[in-house]
This record gives sequence, C-alpha cells and structure tokens, in this order.
Amino acid sequence: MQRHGLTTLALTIACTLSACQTITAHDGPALFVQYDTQSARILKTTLSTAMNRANIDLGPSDPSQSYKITVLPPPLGEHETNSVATPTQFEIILREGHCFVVNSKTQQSYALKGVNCRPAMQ
Amino acid sequence: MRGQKSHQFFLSILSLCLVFTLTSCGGGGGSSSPSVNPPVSNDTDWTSGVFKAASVFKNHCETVRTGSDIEGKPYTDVAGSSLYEKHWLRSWTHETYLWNTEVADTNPANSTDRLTYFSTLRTLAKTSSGKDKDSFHFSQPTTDYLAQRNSAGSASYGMELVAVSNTVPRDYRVTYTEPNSPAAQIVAGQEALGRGAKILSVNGVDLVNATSSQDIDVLNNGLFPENAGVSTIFEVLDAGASTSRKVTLVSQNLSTKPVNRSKVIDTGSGKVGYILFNTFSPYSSERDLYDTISDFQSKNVSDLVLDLRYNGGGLLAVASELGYMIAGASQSNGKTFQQLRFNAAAGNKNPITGDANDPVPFYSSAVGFSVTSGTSLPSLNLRKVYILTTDETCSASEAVLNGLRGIGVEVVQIGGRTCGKPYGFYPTDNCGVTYYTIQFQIVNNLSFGDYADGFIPANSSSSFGVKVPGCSVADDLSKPLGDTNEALLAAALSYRSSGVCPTPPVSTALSKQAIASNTPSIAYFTPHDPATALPLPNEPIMKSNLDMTMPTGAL
Repeated sequence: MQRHGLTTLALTIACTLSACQTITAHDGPALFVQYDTQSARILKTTLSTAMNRANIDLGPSDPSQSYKITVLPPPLGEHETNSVATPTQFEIILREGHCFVVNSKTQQSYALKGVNCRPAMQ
Repeated sequence: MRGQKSHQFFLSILSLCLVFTLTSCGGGGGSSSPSVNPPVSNDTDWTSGVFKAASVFKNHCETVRTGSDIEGKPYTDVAGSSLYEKHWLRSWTHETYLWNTEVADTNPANSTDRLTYFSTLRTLAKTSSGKDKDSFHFSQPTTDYLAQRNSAGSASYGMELVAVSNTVPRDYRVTYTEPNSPAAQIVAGQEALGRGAKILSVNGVDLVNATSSQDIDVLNNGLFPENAGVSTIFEVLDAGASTSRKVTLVSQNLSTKPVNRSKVIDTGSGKVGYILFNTFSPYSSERDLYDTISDFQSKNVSDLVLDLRYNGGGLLAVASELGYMIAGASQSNGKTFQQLRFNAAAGNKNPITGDANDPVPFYSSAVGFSVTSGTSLPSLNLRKVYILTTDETCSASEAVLNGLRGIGVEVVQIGGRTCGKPYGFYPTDNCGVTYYTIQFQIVNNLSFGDYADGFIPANSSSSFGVKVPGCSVADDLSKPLGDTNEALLAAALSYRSSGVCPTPPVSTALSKQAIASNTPSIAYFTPHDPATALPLPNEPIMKSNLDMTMPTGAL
C-alpha cells in the first residue's frame, strides 16, 4: 500500500510537470518560417478571436522578420478628437515546438495552428 | 484479484493526473462573454442618490437588436424597456461622467424618452468666459457611428471650404486642398482651386445669391457629391483676381493627408522647418510625422513652425509621439505627456476600462499605427516651437501645446484662440444609440489641464483663455499655406527673429476672422432653408459645431 502510494505520488507529479508548459531550449520569441497567404489568414483569424472582433487590421509588421505584432484599434469616429486608442501588442513565441501569439499586456496566449515558426535571433 | 487491484490503481493515477493537470496549467485565450443580469422587478425603482451598477441595466433594450453589426460583432441586447435604458444612462453617468457630482439626479421614469433624459445628465456650470463647461454632450445612432468609422474615404474634390458668410450674399472660400486631389491639380499653370478662391457658381447656379429649393439642391449636390465620378463646373474668383474663371472637377474617394505639406525655410539665422499638419486621426499620421521629422533632422533644422490651424485632433498617442519628436529625449525622458483625470470616485483606475490609470509618457518609439512598433522616433531637440492656431485647433492639437508646456518647452502661439477641449470620452453604445459624455480631462506633467476657454496668444485683448507667448494674427486666405508671406507664417518668422509681434496689416488681405467674427467657420446644417446655410452632410462635426450641439434633424 505504501509502495502504491509513493508510486502514485511520483507518477502524479511527473504527469503534472509534463502536461504544463515545459520550458525547452527553443521556447521564446519566434518568427514565421514563411509569411504567405495561408499563414497570414491564420494569424488574422487567431488575432480576431483574441481581440473578440470579427474584423481586424494589423499594424505594419512582418512576422517573418519581427516577433512583435500589432493589431490596430477600430478607426476613429468623426467625433473622437481626443482618442486614447492605441494598437494592441502581441508577440509570437515558440512553446514546445508550437507557435503562439501572446497578448503582451494580458499574457493570454493563442495557438497559431498550422503555422510553422522558428526561434527569433535575439 | 491482483488484476483488479492493478486496474483500480491505474484509474486512481489517471484521475489524479487529470485533476492536477486541470488545476495546475494555465488556460488559453478568449474573453468571456459579458454576464447578463436577468431583470429584477425592483431594479428600476428610483431613490435619489442611490445608484445600482450600470451593468445591471446595460443592453436591456426596448427594441432588441439581433444578429451582428457591420463590424461583425454580435449584438448582446436582451429584452428590457425604455426605463431600463434610462436607468443605464443614469448609472453610467454616475460611474463615468467627469462632473458626476454636478448632475441633478432626477427620476428616469419622469422623462419622456432616453435622449431627452440623456440631455439632462450633464453639468450646467459655465467656464470663465460664460460658455458651457460641458459643450460636448451628444449622441448618434450606432449604425451611423459604425458606418462613418468604417467608410474608406468619402467623395470629394479635395478642397476644404470656409463660409466667410453663410447667408445671402454667401461667401465660400477655399482654405486648402489635399495633395494630388482634383482641386490641387494644375490647370493652365495654377491650382484648379487654390486657397482663397471664392466659389461664385456651381453648375451654373449662383452660389452667392441662390434662394430657391431647386437651386440649393444643385449647389449641395455639386459641392458635396455623394459618390465619386461626379463632374461639376465651378466658377471661381481667385484671391487677388479681378475676373472669374471656370474649372471642371470630377469627385474622387479621398482621405485627408495628415501632413499636407512641409518645407525647410532657409533663413539667415538657421533652417526653419514648416509642417502643415491637419489631422491626428488616420493611422497614417504617425508615418507622415515620422518621415517629415526624419527629413528635418537630416537637414539640421533648428526651429519648427507647426501649423495646426485646421487640426481638430485625433489620436493622443500620435500627439505624444509628436511631442517627443519636437522636444527630444533629454527634455522628455521620465516626463508625462498627459495624464487622464477621471471623476473622484474612480480613484487610480480608469472607470471605463478598469485598467490602472497610468500616466502617458512622451513616446520615444512608434506605437505601431503605421510605423513598426518599437521603431525609435527621430527628434529635433527643440527648446522652442512656433505653433499656428485658429479656433479649429482642437483636442489632440491642444494636447501638444499643453504637453510641451508641461516640460518647459517654450511654445509660441501665432494666430487665434484654440477651441478649448481638454476633455475626452469613450463613445459607448447602448441599445442602438452611441452616447458621448465627457469622462476625462487631460492634464500635463505639471498637472495642468484647465484650458476650457482655449489657448490664446499673449497680446490678445481677451481676458479669457490661457495666455501663451505669441501674437494674435487673423487667418489669411490671400496667400498659399507655407508661403513665407502668408500672415501667420510670416508672423512666426518675424517673431522668431525680433521677438516682436507684427503690427496688424492695413492691407485688404481677406481674413476669415476679421470678416466673420460671429459666423461659424463652416455652415451649419439647416435643412432646406434657402435663405440661410447650405447643408454640409459629410463635414466633421468639430468643424461645423464647435459647441458640439448636434445639427437639426440629428439624433
């Protein structure tokens, strides 16, 4: 019984550690291997979900060159002459070989399924 | 038995793994849907001074919208009532209105409709000059708000007009043209419609004297085309000319170019950069300023004349960037460009977003509207800047003046009083109406933000407004913008060399302010009153109604 209990505990700990985000040598800022029509579509769709907005526009950035991505706020209405709107900053990261975008402010992450990423040189 | 015990053991491991996995690991993204509070029968009971949270009433609508808006956002309306909508307005005002303690608390049930009730939810206090402290309280249909902000430019010839007189005999002049627009094209050696040109007729109809409904319609349709491709014949009298001429223009879908023009003026005492900067609104304003200041920096510009006379504001983040590009790192590092001041109950939080209300610095790198985020911004490192203003200089433009003054940059103001809007809001939809109520004041590094009567040059005789070193000069429509003989630019250059304001000219140069001191800068919307103004259906409200009252017929 005692052996079973210790085994249970050990296996449980191992299970927990492996299920959570394990830091590997390649985890960190990442770039798209290729920024083409398909990866652009995936990026926009993912960010649209992240922003809870059906239509979004991206700021001037190329995810194959920079891991920082900005999502533009909605255009200003004609009466918004003192607007505090700013772009929303995201970062592309690699985590366990998978590509994510992370909201720089909230740190919420969203998987970029179908996109290939490579570590960004720092 | 032994197999059964192994099976049980395996299941217990599996269960524990699942439990620990689910509780240990962070979840993915997506925002939660707003909770919907079901109506409670006593929610709309009113007790003076007692307020339920606005969230109790939000989206409980008399008329429920279904589906999604034009931006693809699903409506979250639920069945409610007009009374619920009014209670939302009451609570929302209490939570977020800047002067919430100055609002008379009346029973929403006694008001006929939501808009009438909303109109009462503002302070009635006055500024020192006697104007309403809150001149910025209004609403519009949300469909209109969304349609306007999603429009990709509007049909135009690329000319901006001012109504020197908007009643018969009318006097409409061109103030400036957009680069590469039909109005700016060169025809017979001159701009098709240059600054100061007076419009005499449109498609053969006399603009100056026409009074019939039919003629007014021709004028409106010609001046303010609804679509691109509209061909219109203008008869104009150029500034300084004695005979008129005719020119045909075809409308295009155009957007305002933020930096309309710029140049480096080589004076005997150094290079002066001149920028005509007309709007902070489009994302391209960041790129335009970045490119212009980079160019000035490369040319060793040592002084700057920033022409904001027609700039009604826009993005405050771009205003912060401009402030940095003028002042540079040594003057702005660690300093505040602006701090939003909310009502006292908000504490140190933004009551609209819930975020911490942190001060906004002078951004030294691009925030990413149209320049890649993180790009270092150029700067001129100036200790003095000359800013040209009129009553159309407003909001984010005033924030630049205020922000720079807050860190000790000497601002010299040339021109006229600015509009006086140190306030802002977050347009908010509820049940199909977008409401605008003042929610914050902008203050600078010295916690100053009391310019509700505008900034005004120091030699003005007026006793209202924040006096700024500089010279009162009327806008001069007789010269192109950027011409060193144009009155405001000439005054700035003269002040720069002598420190003295020019003597008011005796010339007959047409001056908008001199002639039309009591006339709005652009005609008000007046539906089919031929004796008065021509409607301007697409004119930005800040150009037509500086007191922010909505035009007749608007919501």
